Amino acid sequence: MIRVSLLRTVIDLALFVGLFIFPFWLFASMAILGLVIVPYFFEFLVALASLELLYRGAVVTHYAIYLALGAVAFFIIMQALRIFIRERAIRF
Amino acid sequence: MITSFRHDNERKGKRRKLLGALLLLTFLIFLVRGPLSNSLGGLFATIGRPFWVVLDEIKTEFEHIQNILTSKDVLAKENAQLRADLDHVAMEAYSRERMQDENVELKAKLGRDPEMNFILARVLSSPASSPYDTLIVDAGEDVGAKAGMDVYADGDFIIGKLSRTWKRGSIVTLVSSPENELNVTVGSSSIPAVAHGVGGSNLRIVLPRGSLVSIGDLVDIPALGAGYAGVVSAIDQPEGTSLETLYLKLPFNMSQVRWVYLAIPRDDKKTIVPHKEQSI
Repeated sequence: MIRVSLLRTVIDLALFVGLFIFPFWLFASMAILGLVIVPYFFEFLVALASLELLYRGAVVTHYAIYLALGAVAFFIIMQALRIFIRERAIRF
Repeated sequence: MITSFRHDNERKGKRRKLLGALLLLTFLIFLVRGPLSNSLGGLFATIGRPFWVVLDEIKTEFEHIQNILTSKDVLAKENAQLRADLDHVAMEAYSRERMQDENVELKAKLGRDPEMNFILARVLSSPASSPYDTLIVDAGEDVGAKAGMDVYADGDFIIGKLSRTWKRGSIVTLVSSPENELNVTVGSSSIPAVAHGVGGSNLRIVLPRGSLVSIGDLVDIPALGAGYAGVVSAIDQPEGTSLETLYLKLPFNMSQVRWVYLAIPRDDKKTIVPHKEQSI
């Protein structure tokens, strides 16, 4: 439990500082990757929303927040597929 | 039995968290698209300001250290080359300055004032730290910056427009960003053309084949004062076509630009607070 809290604290700090100092695409990729792996860590969602808020009106960021939606949707589809394969397909 | 019960509980917990994430995401989408988005963006820019300034200082310090580590021979050669370049540029600058003054005087006599007023702005974040073809600058609404203002770099090169302003900062979208267009005149016969942004500080112009343009030509902005869009860096003339493509680039590295100038529209000159009063 303590390890998870520590990990989340480190991730939160990295995301907070990274928003301003990491290159845009590196930060966006990190946040999306984090979302695909653990969408329960709400900080990745908040990070992508912050990125959109900061750079909104700039060239390529009209849909950074929709990338978050895509990442969560991707996670749900993967989970559903995993459950389907484990509980249905393997039985046949 | 107990194990299965525990697994069911875990699954339910995960589903609940996932549902929470989806709800949060929906809320965030509304927040980002809603009326509060500009104020929140400004807040983030204010928080980010010290980080960007510190990062810039670190970069400068690294460049300094890199210079110290460079060998004396290399430095001496570079120094000699720079002196030669400086002499050459200084000679050209004298005549250019004189001609520019003469040009301004003539236009003033004819009742047209080409002088422009600017707000100086420090670049806080440039590509690749910010998204491609985007700069964040420190001049905001408090010093009179407004969305739509033209942004210039040293040497009268127009580099972009203010696309969004906060109280103490603004976003500049570079003219080179894809889908941007800029009216220009090219070559010694001032051929009117449209420059299309292709990203990475590059622009492209399509002209009829045989136009009097050569590599190194300055591309002008059709305006009273001096203003340039870039320098012709390459000309592509494919066989069997009646068109040629000019590729323009800026004669400096956009990621190394530290200061930019926001052009004040002529009607606003009287209402703008001079940027000198602002501490940088």
